[in-house]
Amino acid sequence: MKRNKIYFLLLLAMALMASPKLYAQKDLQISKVFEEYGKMKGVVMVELTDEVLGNYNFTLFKSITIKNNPNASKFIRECLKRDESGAKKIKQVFTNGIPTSIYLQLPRNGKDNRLILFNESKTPTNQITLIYIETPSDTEDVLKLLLKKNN
Amino acid sequence: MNRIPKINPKEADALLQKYYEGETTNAEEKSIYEFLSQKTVPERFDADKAIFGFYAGKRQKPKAIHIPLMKWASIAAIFFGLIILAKGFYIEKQNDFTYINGQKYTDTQMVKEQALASLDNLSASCNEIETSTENLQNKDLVESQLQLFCIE
Repeated sequence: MKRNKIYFLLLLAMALMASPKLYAQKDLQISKVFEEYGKMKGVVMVELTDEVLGNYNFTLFKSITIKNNPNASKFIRECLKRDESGAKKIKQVFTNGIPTSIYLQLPRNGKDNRLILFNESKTPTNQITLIYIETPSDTEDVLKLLLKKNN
Repeated sequence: MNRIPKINPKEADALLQKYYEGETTNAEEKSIYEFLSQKTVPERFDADKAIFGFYAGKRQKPKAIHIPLMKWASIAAIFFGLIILAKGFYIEKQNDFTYINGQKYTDTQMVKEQALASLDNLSASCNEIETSTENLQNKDLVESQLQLFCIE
């Protein structure tokens, strides 16, 4: 009985060691984008945990901005296609039949809402922006704030 | 284990004298304890008994502090838990970073700026979309574009 309790305490300690936040997005295909392209030239990758950006409260914020890399664009779109299953499409914008903006709402992770935001703009240069967000705030509020940001 | 030699009152007197002069050995002191702990000790040894702690009864052996294993385990678990929590917090804060052209930066202000810049990219594109949608809703523009297809 005593031994069982000790094992329980050890397991508890091990569970504490593994921080769930750090592995939350690992189940997604887009995590490969961050791994693959994050440290390349012409790329800006950001990772923030438990931060407030402007009016946004984020548990986890990851973003990657890639310039002039058609292969990356293709790869990201493939990853997004896979992550779309089980996700709710909030917004999708097409230009010449190709989706240039995709906003996905993923199933919640605990108390956090999860969002994937993707955009590819062709002008002035080809630029891809991919953002993964975990937030306790309402997704609509976050998106409203995001869309109003430049107004 | 060595047996403590029993002493008589006369020998006890001599040993006590030696004891108060600080010249007794451990074995001799044990003999004094043994002698004073007896039930029938002459009254003239009452003061010595008081000094040796036997006056109120039998001298009590100091109790060994026994902490159960479970308690030790709990203390250890709490200790490690605190270390892990502190470490986790530290690691997570260390996780705030940005890579620019393959170069890593951990300055929080800089990381925040880059994060906001990426949000700007998105919101800028949203504005472009909204503007183009507004243009499409512009009746004059639609009519002028339709004019292009008109056959005169």
